[in-house]
Amino acid sequence: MALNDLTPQLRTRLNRMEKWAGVFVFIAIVIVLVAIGYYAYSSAVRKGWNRKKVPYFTLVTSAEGLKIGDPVMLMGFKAGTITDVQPNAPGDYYNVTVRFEIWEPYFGYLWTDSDVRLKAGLLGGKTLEVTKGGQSYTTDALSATYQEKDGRFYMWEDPSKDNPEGQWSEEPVRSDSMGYMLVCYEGADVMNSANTLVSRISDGLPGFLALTNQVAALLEESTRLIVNANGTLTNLQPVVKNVETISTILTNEHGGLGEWVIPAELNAQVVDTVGAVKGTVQTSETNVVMLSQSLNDSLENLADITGNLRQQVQANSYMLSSISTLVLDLDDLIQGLKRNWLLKGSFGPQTNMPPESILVPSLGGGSSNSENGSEKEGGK
Amino acid sequence: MLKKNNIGWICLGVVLVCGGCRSVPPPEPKPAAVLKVEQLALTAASVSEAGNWVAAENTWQEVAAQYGELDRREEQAVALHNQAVAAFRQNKYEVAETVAEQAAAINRQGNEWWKNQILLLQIEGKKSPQKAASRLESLLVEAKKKSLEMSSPILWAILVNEQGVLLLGDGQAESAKVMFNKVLEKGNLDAVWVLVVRSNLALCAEQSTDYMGALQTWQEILEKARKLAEREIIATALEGVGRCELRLGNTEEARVALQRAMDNYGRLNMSVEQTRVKELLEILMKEITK
Repeated sequence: MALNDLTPQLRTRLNRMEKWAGVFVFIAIVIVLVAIGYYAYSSAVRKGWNRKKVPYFTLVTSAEGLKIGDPVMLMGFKAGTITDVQPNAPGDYYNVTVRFEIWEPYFGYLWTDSDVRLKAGLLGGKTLEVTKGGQSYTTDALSATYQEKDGRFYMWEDPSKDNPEGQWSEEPVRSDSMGYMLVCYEGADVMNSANTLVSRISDGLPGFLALTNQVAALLEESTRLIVNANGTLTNLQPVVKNVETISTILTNEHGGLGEWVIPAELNAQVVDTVGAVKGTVQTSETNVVMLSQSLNDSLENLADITGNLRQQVQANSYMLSSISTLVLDLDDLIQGLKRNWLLKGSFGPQTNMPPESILVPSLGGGSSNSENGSEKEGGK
Repeated sequence: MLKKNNIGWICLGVVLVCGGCRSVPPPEPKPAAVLKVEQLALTAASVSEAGNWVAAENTWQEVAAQYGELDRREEQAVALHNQAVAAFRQNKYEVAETVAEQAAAINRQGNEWWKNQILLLQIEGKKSPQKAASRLESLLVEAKKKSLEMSSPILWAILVNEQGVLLLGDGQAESAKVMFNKVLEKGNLDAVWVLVVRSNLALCAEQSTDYMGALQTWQEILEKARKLAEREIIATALEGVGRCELRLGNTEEARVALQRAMDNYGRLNMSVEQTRVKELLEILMKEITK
């Protein structure tokens, strides 16, 4: 429908509405643009796009946990980002080269004695942290790593054979330059250490379990031996008596019955047997002593337990107070039930009844003067 | 699951129990001294019931003293009365009479006074029958005056029994028998007391030389006493049986019965009765050896 077909009033109203719609769209576009601008600004701040930055690199053993874009921390602040992670040549001593840039003003903290710490997180990630330099006082050649002249950065070149004192680079640092190298100290990998520890424990545990099994078996065997020793001791009692009797006969002086009856070889065997029996008896005695010692220890432990219980009861006056309160409350409850008209019959009569006079009828007669019967008047 | 009826009953029970808690006021607490003497009185009653008259006399004496200190005169009179009974059962008539008179001095009227008077009558019956007869006469007048037969039939029955005993001791067996029958006509007597009164009737029959009737009565008493486990009446009945058998010439039966009676008296520590039966046995053995 063409706009000219409308009435003038309606046409005026539609024009006004279109104007407001245009305003709304404009405001929406402005809001979106502002939001996009704010996001771009915060991203630039976060990523240091609008900051001056200088390159550094370090050498590490492994690139595990390191990614391009990860932050580089200095004194707890985000001071830069990792820009590149590359493996070195196979013949190099270090395995990986990590390049990173440090934003202003943080590169002012980095001196020639600064270093890099590679910290491992619990979840497997790694954080690159640079340390503040200039305060180690370990060398006279301390210097800042970069200096700015005319908007350009010049890198400090460490002392070498050709340049024993070190110097600032003659050319300003280019954007593709490797930058100043900081020595990296790789901290202990917590997860690796934990894994190593767990693996060592796992390796050692079977041995430990085997050891405990051996101890248990040893104890079981000892118990069995003691039981057997007890049985042996019991069985040996008559044997020992017989041996004692025999030995009494055999220990006679030369010419005794033993020497006459028993040949010399048999006599020697008997002596050996008696010696063996004596050893067995001594072993049994030792076992019995050990057994009695164990029993004594058990009794002492039992005494300790009862002693502790007594001490607890004595020390815990609150417990005794609670028991006393419980008894009193129970007495109140029973007294209350005794007063209940429905239940008082269950408790029987009062015990302290008043005494009654005893009166019994007499048993008369001339031949019998005794009193018989023992009933109280009113008692039945 | 609880049904509606069960819930109703439970609610009713809760209401009754909770309401009952408030319906009866709590009893007043007794002083410790009163509780102590009441406990001692219970002990005295127990030893009296067990027939340990020596301990009973000492305990009742202590109870009477403690009630006296508490100025509880009525309970003190009861304790003195029971102390007198214990002394009387040990044949300590003088002590029994003195203590019974102390109790009677406290009780000026009422059933307790009657109990004291009947006890004094029993003591005097052993100690001085003439004095007992005088007291009995005054008591009968008082009983008639106070209508004791109506107000306290038990006490009246015992009084009449004592009258019969006195008559029996005076050799008036027929009159005594009337008295004893009057006692038995009272239907609410205790079973043991009935046996005592029937024993008196058997004695009346013996005094009337009706040994067969007496023997039969004694045997019936013995049978019932065994059912009631009344050891003193068993011993008394055995003595009566032995005595009647002796009079009837059945020496062997008499010997057996008297021997058993003597043994029973010995177990009951009734030395007087044991000595009496022993004398009878000696007479019997002499007759047997003739």
